[in-house]
Amino acid sequence: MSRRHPAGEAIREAFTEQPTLSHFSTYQQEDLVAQYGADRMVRMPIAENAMLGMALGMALVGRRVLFSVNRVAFLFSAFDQLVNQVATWRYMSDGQFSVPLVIRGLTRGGEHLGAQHEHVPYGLLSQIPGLVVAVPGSPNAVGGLLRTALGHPDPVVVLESPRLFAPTWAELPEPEPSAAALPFGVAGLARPGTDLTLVAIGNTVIESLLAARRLAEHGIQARVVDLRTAAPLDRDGVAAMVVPDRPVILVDEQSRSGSVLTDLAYHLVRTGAVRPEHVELLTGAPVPAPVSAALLDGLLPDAERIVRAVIDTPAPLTQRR
Amino acid sequence: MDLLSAYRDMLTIRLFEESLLRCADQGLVPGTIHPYTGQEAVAVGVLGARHPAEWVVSFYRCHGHALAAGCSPERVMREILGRRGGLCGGKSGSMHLADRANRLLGSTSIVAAQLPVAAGAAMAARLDGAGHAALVFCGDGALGAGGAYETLSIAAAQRLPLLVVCEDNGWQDQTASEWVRHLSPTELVGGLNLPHVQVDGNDVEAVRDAATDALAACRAGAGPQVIVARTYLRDFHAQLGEHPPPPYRPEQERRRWAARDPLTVAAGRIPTDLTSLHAEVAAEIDALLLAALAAGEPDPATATTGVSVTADLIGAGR
Repeated sequence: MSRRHPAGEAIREAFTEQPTLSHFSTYQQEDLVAQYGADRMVRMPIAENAMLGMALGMALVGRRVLFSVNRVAFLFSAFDQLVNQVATWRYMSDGQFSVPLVIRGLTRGGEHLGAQHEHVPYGLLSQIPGLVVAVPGSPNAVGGLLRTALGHPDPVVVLESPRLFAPTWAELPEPEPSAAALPFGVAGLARPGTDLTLVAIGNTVIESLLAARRLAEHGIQARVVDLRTAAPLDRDGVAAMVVPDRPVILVDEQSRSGSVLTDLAYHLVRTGAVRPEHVELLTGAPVPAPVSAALLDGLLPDAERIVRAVIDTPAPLTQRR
Repeated sequence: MDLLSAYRDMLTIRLFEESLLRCADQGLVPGTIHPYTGQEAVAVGVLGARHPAEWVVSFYRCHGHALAAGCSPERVMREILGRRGGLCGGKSGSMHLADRANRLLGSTSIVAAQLPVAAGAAMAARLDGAGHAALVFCGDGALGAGGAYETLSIAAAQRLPLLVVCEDNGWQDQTASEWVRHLSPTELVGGLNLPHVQVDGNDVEAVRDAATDALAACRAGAGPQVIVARTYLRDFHAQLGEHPPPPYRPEQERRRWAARDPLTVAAGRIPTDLTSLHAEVAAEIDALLLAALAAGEPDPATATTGVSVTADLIGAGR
């Protein structure tokens, strides 16, 4: 594999173009330290709360920090700084200050690390006004969303699936034609189709695209929509993108309580983009992440479950008119 | 102390971990594994001084603590391998072992999160009035986290019967501790004016003596005590998937510590030949491993139970 990861490219580009950009992390790549200097690529102790508070201080006085928190699970150790401080400055200061700050964190995907390491908290984070919550669904989308995040005036959390960085990342479905900057709050058409729409975010973009390939073998053409950001949520854009008068399946690894996709389902029905009987939610089980592989079976909506939801149910969704 | 018995316990942990590392190389360990190899004298020395009624709190490098706390090696191994009959039903895996029966009050994969939990157990122990302490292990990296200072400060103000054992191996994952801190753990806790002792963490007798004294002080109402055990990871921080990480520490440093391996140090003081003991423990571990691998997987239906009493009552798992 000779292709360089789009995320690495986007980050190098930003550090080259922005002399006021710093990187906070407990781990720093030697080559990046050599290239940009240890004063910008800052090695930190395991102190997320202080790291995020410092990143906020830097941002408030005119710099920008990329804070790689490693697992997004570790961001919860900095929740005061995130919720009470970082997200509120622009509003509380009546626009005197902005917080150009990017937080990258890994979610979950095939690593079996368990309940204190594996989370997909975009619903949780999108409840915090003032934050952009970007959730790339492909390697190019990581690059594209990071590019936008690293030029954005407000705090952005980028939630990245470890699958997008696994050794086999280049073999994943790639709906984005390039890793050029992607706008926030604009859903993308990940695959054209005419029979039904799958609406997805993060890992479920991958699973929906894999499911769509298999459905095509059954003669069913599924359109796939990638939300790209959980906040802002492109409610009107998705309403305009779904196949008219056909079923919509919203696929989410989070459980359905208060989820982004439940919100979206309400909007689609309310605006008449889809009939109530044509909406289906495929969501994760409301349980912490177990470690044993046997326990993971069926907890998350994967391609298999999506295909089954479309063709194996007693009243197949595609035949509902 | 019975040095031969301590040697056997350390050897059990060593072979247990090495056996699991081989499993990891074959893709048999779900998730990650943080081997305790090289630090065995700390767990065995400290927990040898524990009263069985005292709670001990661990973190993600917990296998050695669990075995030294008396947890069933068979159930621990099954848990780490994600097999049926595991200590936590396959839900915790390698990093989050907990065992109420042996008073192992959990292990957390969030750095330093175990410290306030242990202080809570220490406060409860004092309220119980039975003269017991609570014990907690952490790495030196945990002293970079704010929660460590909050906990130590409260524990000192309240004179809690808390023994903090800092396993100072000089590295935080692949970052050298000296790159990210200005004082050593001993200097840091000394600066807080906490009673503390630095000990050779590769000498099980020295660790045991330090723990005996520190626990006696805790139980006598002298407040929190800190043991800084200088030690080193024989293998590496962690392995995720089938490949060990490439070497990340200076070769000379690794060789220097390897020459002071805790098993070598202890063996040098034991007059008897240890060959048959090695064979005996190796056979025990092999048998555990074979049984674990033959055990099958946990029942998938258990994946959605046990989140909360309410969810179980109304069947809200899915």
